[in-house]
Amino acid sequence: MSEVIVITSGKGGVGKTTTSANVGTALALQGKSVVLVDADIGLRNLDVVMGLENRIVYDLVDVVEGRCRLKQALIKDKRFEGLFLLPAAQTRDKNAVSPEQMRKLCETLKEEYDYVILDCPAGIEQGFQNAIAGADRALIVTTPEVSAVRDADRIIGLLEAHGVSNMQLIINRVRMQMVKRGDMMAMDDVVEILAVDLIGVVPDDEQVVVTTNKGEPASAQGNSLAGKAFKNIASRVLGQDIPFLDLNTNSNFMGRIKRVFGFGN
Amino acid sequence: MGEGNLVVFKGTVDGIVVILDEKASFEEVISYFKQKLNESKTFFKGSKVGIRFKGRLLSAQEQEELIDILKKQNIINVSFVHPFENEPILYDEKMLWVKNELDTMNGSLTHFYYGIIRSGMEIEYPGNVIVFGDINPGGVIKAGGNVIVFGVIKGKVHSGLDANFKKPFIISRGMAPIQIGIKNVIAPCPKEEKGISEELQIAYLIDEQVYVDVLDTKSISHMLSTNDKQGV
Repeated sequence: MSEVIVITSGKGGVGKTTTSANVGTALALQGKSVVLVDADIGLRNLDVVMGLENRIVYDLVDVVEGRCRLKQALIKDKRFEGLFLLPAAQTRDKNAVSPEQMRKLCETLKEEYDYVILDCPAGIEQGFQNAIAGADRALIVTTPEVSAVRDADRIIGLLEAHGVSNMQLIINRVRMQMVKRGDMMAMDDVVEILAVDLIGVVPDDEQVVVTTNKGEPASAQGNSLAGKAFKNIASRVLGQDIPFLDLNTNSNFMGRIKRVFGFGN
Repeated sequence: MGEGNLVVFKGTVDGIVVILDEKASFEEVISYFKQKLNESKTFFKGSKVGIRFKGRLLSAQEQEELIDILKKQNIINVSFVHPFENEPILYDEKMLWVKNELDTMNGSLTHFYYGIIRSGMEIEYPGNVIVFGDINPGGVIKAGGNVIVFGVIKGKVHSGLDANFKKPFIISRGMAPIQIGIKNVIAPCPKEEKGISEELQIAYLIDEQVYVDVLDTKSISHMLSTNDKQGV
C-alpha cells in the first residue's frame, strides 16, 4: 500500500520544496512512515527547509553509486516519529543519476516506508525525468499566476505522456484579498484550465517564510493557516474527505471549487 | 486503365515515369510501348532523361526485354534507368473507396484526439483534426484540413495548410486563441472579442480576412458565398 508521490511544478519558486517538507511532516504526524527524497541534485534545499543540513553524511548519489548503504544516507528526523530524509548531492548535477536508478531506489524505499515523497527540481530536463520515473502519484504545485499555470499545464502533459495519470493540484500562495478584488486568478479559473482535481489551496502566509528559515515545517505548528492547509492536504492524500479551508471568502467558494471541469482523465 | 491506354508516359522532376498496365499481357504492353515511343518521337527528340517503369511486376526476362527496346531505339536519349519495382501496387478492393474519396477530395482523413491539448503539445496532421477537449495556451494544432474542437481554443490553431481544402474552417465552443490561422493568413485574436460562449463558433476565411461567427446557417452560407465555388 506504499506510494511514491512526486511533488512537481515546472516553474521554479512556487513552493515545491516547502510543500514536500510540510506534507511529508504532516503525514508523519498522522502516524505514517515517510521518507522525503530530494531529487534536486546540485541545488539541494529540502535539507535546509527541514533543518537537517548539519546531519548530512551521505547523499542520494552516494547511494546510487554504491558508496554507502541506503540506511546510512537516510537521516532520521528526531522531532517527528517515522520521518526520514534522503538528501541530494550538492557537488554533482542531475546527470549523476538515471531514471532507471531512481525507479529502483523508489522500489526499495517503498518496501519499507508508507510514503516516499520526491521533491522534484524545476524544469523539464533530466532532473524532472529522474524524479517522475518511479512515481505513482504526482502533486502539482502552482501559484495563481498565468506563467506558473502555463508551466503546470506543460508538466501535466508530460506526466500523462510518462504514464503518471494519478495527479492532483495544489494551488499555493493564494491571496484571497487579491482574488476578491479581481487582481489574482481565481481558484476555479486555474482548475478549469488545468482540468486536474484540486487537493488543496494554501494561502500566502508570512508564517511559512518564518518557519522555512528556521527549518521547522509550518505543518508541525498548529497556529498558521498555511500549516493547516498543508495538514489538510496530507489528510486528503490519505484518502480522508476534509472540507477545504475557509480562506475568508464568500460562502459558495466550496461549491465553485468542486465544479471541476469535466475533461479530466 | 482503358483498352487504348496500356502504357502511360508521365514527366516528373527526375525524368519520365512509364506506367505499364498490369492486367494486359506483356506482349500487348510491349508492342504498345514501342508504338508510343514512335508516336512521341518529336517530343523526346534529343532530350536526356532518366526512366522509371511502374505499374506492374516484371520478371527478370521481361525487364531485360524492356531495356533491350530502350537500347535499340534512338528516340529517347536514356541516361539512367531506375531499378524496377519488386512489388506491384495492389489496392485492397475494400479500401479502394478510400483512395477514390481522397483522390476526388470528397472525403479526407480525420485525426481524433481525446483529451486536452496542453502547453507544449502539438498535433500536426495532413487531414482534419477533431479534439474532444480544450486547446490550452501553448498547445498547437496544425491541420491540412478543418479543425473542430469540442472545447475552448486558448492556444494556436491553424487549419487549411493543405491548399486542396478549398474552404477550411475552425469550429469550437469558444474562441480565445493566442493565434488563429486559416490557409496562409495568421491573425491574433482581438482582445475584446475573447470569450467563451455556450454556442459553437466558426472561424473561416474570406478575402484574406478571418471571420469568427456564431455557427449557424447564416454564417455557413456567408462562408460559402465567395467566388471560389470549387466545393468545400
